[in-house]
Amino acid sequence: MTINISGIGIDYGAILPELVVAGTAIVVLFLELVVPPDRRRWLAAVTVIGLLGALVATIPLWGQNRSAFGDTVIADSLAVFFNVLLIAITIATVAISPRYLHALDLDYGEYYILILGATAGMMLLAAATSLMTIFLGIELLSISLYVLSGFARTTLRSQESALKYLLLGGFATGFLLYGMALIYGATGSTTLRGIAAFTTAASSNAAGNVLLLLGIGFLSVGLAFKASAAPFHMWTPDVYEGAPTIVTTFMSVATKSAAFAAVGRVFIATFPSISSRWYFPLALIAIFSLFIGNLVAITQDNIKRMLAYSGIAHAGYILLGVLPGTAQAFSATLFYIAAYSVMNFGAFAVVTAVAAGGEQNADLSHWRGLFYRRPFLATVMTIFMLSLAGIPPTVGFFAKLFVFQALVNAQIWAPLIVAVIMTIVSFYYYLRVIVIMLAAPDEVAVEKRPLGIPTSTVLGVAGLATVVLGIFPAVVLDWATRAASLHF
Amino acid sequence: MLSDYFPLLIFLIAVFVFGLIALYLPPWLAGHLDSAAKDLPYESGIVPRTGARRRFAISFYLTAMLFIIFDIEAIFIYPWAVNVKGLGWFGVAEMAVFVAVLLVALIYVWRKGALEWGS
Amino acid sequence: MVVGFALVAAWEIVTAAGVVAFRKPMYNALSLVANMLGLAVLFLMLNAQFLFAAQVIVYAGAVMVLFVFIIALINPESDVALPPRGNEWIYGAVFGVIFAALLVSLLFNRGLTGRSGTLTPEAIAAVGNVQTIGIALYTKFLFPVEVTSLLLLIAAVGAVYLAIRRIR
Repeated sequence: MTINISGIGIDYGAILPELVVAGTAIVVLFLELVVPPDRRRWLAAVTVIGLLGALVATIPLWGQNRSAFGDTVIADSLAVFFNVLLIAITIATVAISPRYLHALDLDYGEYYILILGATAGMMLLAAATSLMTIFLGIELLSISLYVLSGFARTTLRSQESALKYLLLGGFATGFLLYGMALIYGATGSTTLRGIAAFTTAASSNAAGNVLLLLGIGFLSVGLAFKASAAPFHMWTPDVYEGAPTIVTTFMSVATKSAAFAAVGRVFIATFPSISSRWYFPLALIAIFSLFIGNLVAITQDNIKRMLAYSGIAHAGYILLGVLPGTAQAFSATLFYIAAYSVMNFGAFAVVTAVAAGGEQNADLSHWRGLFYRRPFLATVMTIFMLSLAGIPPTVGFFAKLFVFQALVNAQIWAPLIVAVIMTIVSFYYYLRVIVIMLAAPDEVAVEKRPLGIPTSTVLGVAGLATVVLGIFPAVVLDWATRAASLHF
Repeated sequence: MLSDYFPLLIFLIAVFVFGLIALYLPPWLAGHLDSAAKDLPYESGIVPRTGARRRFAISFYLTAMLFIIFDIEAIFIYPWAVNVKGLGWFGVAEMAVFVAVLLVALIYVWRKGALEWGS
Repeated sequence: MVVGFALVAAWEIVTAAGVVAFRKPMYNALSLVANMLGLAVLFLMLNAQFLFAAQVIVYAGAVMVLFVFIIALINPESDVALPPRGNEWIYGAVFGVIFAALLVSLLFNRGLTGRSGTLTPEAIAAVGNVQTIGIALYTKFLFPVEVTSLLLLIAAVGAVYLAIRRIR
């Protein structure tokens, strides 16, 4: 018996960016085996070169609509949008890594392999159009991040962080998988295209299909966990605090972005016909995230925990743009994700630079008078804090503005009111950081610990981007609008 | 169909019954003698010095973990193997890529010394 | 058939209760092995031979070996029972009842309709269960299968990095 292999839809061009990233991981793995330990920082250079290659491979896919491998992946503008974002985040992370890893005596090549593995998983998640690939993308990024959280093998906090993330993450994966199984049972398809065809068909009465709705519910729990949205956020502060700061920097922005790519593909593109069914639970998750994230952040004295709760709150803002269920509103979400990535990466990168002398420096009391000791770090941190709070003329202001506009257009009032009030609440804890940095230090001892060119470049670019995009947001918004027009 | 497995069921029952017989028939036939020496792990051998319950080396864990990884590889090969003729050279290429990536994993594990025991 | 299912179902409930009820971790793990073997029999009764093999080889075999090793690793006195029960079982009972009520209410809900696909039991029996899965895996799901190998590679790197005694 011969098997028909013509209908598989093999298209290597469509997955070339992911292939390049995975290939780079394998190259770095071989190099790690042969390169002597004191030369390991060159692995970072190889990693960056590979990522630049992936960037080159992904740009030509913009504007295309190439569904490949039996509808399991797609190369479209949304995938390119996230690929560019994720590759940029990874390049910035890898650029500031060697110095930090060296300071902690952690310069092992496995770090770059796992970072590349996580990036490949996230890119796959952003391009996934099948339950199978969504699951594999999430697992690939999760397993890499479980290990990365515990990358400081001998530090108890890091081990604790990894264990908590693994156990709770495994639990969330159970929900995710159960949800996928139910959706498959209800619709008879694993591809989003097939599922969408089932739910839009009038004969199938998808809105009354309990099996399907329960499946969507469980799937949402799994995705909300990865995006660290409340009430599935319990792991976030502990994991963010315990993991090496550089890993926290990476996963706080990259994981959230990738998770929302999947949220967009599932809710906006696959289930628009039953939006009345998922609107309420998602609105509830958004409101919970806004409340818990913003209110608990006020009480935090550790900056990593404070940023963790702020990240939960931002998951709420990002989710707001999904609620209307339209491509137009989703473009506001995409803009928010891009803005959040820049400013939150910057904020955590500053924490990394300050903490390079030791992880205990994440305590806010240590930041007292930072303006006098390290003026550059304190200045860029101020920009990121203002942006996270949403104060013009930063990109964070327009991000919130666009999302709120989308809610007004869709006449969604309750979540909007919560979001506005919580934004005002959030001023307190973001501005508090600035006030602490401005406070007169106990003793003025100028630290002569240079940042190094990569770190200051990354911080400078992030700070500049936060301001420039705040003045000219139109370019990114245009990209976001084009990427948000999902069609399959 | 399911009745095909009836011999298997009989076999399972036989295994279970034989186990019970082997466990309980000898003491019943031979009677029972109790003494401290009889309770030792090796009745007339080496005298144990410490308890048998002690921490396993982490190498066991690592070996078990790697065993799972390559066990899953084997499970993937199984449905490929029954279709190898139908899939033809295309299938061979598919499996070659799959195995090659895991070969990289094996090389890594081997070169890192994760398979060395106790050194 | 029904009698067989009832027997295995009873076995599943008893062993699942054992997983949570025993106070010695090793007994919990062994109950889980028994439970997984029962699940394998259920797969066999549904004519899912491939799942049966995977369940026995991967779960009851490899994964449970890992579980037992981990218990031996972190709890050398695995004969020593856990501390006596506190109040936490109340939460478990409450959530268990809620979840059971949800499942029972689902069973009586008429909206609970699955979609029957093209692969009927007869269609599968004509080709063979393992063959059908193999064809699907290596044509339709080619890309996910290849991604799985990358996932396993990353898992191997992570496991070795975290667990090896002296990293080089």
